Amino acid sequence: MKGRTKEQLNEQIDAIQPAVRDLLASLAPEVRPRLVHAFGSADANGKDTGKADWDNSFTDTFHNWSDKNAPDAIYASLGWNPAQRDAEGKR
Amino acid sequence: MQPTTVCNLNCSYCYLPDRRLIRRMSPSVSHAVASSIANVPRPVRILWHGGEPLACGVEWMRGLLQPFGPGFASGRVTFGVQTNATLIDDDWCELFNTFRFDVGVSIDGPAAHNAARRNWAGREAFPDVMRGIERLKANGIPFGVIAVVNRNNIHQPEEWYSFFCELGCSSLNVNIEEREGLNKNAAGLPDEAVASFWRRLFAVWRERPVLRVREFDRMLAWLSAGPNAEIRGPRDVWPTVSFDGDVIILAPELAGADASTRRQFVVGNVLERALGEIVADASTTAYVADFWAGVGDCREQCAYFSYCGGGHASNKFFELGSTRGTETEYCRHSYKLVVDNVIESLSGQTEPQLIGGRT
Repeated sequence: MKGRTKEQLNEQIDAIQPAVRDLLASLAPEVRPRLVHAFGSADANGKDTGKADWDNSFTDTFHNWSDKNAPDAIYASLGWNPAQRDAEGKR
Repeated sequence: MQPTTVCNLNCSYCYLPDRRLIRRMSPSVSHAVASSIANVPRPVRILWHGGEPLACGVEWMRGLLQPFGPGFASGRVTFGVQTNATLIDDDWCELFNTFRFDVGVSIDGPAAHNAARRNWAGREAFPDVMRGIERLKANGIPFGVIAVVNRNNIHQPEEWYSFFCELGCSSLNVNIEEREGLNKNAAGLPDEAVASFWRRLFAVWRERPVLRVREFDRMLAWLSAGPNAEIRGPRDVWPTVSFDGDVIILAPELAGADASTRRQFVVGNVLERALGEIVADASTTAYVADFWAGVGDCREQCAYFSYCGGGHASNKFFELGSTRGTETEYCRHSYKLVVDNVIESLSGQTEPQLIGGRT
């Protein structure tokens, strides 16, 4: 497969930061991205199959339910430290 | 939550094998879900989808909503619906307003672009969709759009985007046609065409950024975090409650698999156990454990992981035969080629990029 390395991707992301900032600054507030690094939006617009973004609340709910049972390895594999969530109050 | 399996449309790319079967969710199922979440101290959003969720009928839906009344009244439970809009009338609008539904409409663009969405008689759904949208607008109900990019619209992103700018929607969510479920043997879209689509769509959106486009919203949020930005939280587990109370996690598409396939994905039933317990215990189920292992492989192997977070279980299952897999066509079309073409566009490149495409 063709592709980039993570390092190459990071270099490119670094290089385009001025262009990203300019673009963000040019956007009207109603279309400006919510500048939080989260994989979900506040829209209800999951596609029919539900694959799209949901409010993060259900994720929070799930973790509230499952914290006591979920293997830490699952979270670790995703780069998430549960202690971080505690510190932030919310991931 | 899936209030019914039936759909009044027969879209050519639909993945649901049971969409002709008229089965409605029993109120006992919604009671069980409401009881399950009654003591959850955080907000819960319930997204009604299907099938066509409105095909259950407005009074039936009202009955399904009734057990959530206290949660809704307190503001802790909110609702969304994803609908093809063909059945929307003023009664549905009254319900949407009463329960403050966030409404998502499925429409693929202007009539010629929407040709894959037809009813069971083969008649194009576009006029009925537009009639439903007009009812939403007349009743002051904002709506977002989910549009499937397919062979009918992939080559005209400028015309396509312009249509949605004029439609009156609040957001545009772009789904590249996927090969899964009943549609798993479809020809699929060439990577080159998808790359060109993203490149041109980003260009036309930059010229006229009047709509929130989910993919660019997510992309720019990620890019603005700078190099080495990483996914910080686990993926959503997507608890899906089917009409009969069965619970499937990770991907609602798995709930739509044919009966023999679907059985392996059911992690419990809300008529037997509380939803929270079912979800919490599901991590040891084979397909769930496989998925997390595959996500770990994605993390190790893929430069794009920090953007996508490890793909989706249903695409891995239907494309690769296991939720344990890594790269799928869906990964390339909906993540890698978006990354490639947004980054290269912002770098000043003018040609569609296929860096993450298939060799």
